[in-house]
Amino acid sequence: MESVLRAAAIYIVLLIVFRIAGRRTLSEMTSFDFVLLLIIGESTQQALLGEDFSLTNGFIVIVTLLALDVAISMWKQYSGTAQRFVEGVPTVLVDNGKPLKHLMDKARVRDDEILEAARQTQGLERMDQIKYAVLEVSGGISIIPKER
Amino acid sequence: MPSVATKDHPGLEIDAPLRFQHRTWVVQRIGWGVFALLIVAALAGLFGSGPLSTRTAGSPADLQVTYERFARLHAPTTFEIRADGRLTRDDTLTIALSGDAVRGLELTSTMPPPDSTSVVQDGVLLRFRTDSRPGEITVVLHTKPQKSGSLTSRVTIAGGPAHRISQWIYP
Repeated sequence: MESVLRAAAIYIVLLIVFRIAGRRTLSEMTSFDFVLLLIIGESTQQALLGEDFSLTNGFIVIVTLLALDVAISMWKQYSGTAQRFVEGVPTVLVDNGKPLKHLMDKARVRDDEILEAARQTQGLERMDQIKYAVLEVSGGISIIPKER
Repeated sequence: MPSVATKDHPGLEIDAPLRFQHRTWVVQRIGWGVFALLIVAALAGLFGSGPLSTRTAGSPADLQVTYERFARLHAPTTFEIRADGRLTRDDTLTIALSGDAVRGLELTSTMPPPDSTSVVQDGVLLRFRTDSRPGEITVVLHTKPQKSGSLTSRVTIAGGPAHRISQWIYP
């Protein structure tokens, strides 16, 4: 019983904490972000397993985590509100070449990050070549270029 | 939630409700505040080991017990027992533990180790031999809570003072 409750508690706490931290946290993996993720995994592991390192416990924990994941994805499928709460919504940050500063500040995205995404994904040179830049729920920035 | 190209962004088929986004940001900023409060509370010892958590019962003149008010399940927590040498009988100091100290705590070790232990109703007795004129005696109990929630233990010196110790054990 305890294993299931532990796994569920960890799953829900992580979901809430990462939602509060925001999608920009850990979205573009620098090497330091990667290390941070490893440390978070390491601190979670002990709480997840407790003092029981048996095969059975590991199995119960894995099945519980995956079942929760499936349950949440079904819930998101069923209800648009649930999807918004769990994943968040995309945000348009550049509209017809015009950076929407007030939104970018709140979303913690800078001009140069948008330009970087524009260079990397579309080979664009300037802000005015961008039709839309969207901060996706994953934390990545997608760029739609203006038609030439 | 399907949506067609909005009038804000012609040609872009996206469901990007700004109201929800703004509310999310407000909740996130409140959440960051809660993170900060949690960190401050943890530093202060609300979740164990810190100035808010360390408690002392009694006085060193007879029996004093220093313990953690807040501890965590399966994490080590110590009880420092200081007893005045006059409380010894026949060169032996006898400490009685009862209540949740027996049911809810695992006694991993004591420093110094007891010379003998015995079971009594609702508790255990730990006996420590002393020299004939001891001053203040210090015994440290290293324990691990085995139950979460509220634990109430009693620490008694045989024929002397007793202290009630209540602890909160986080899961």
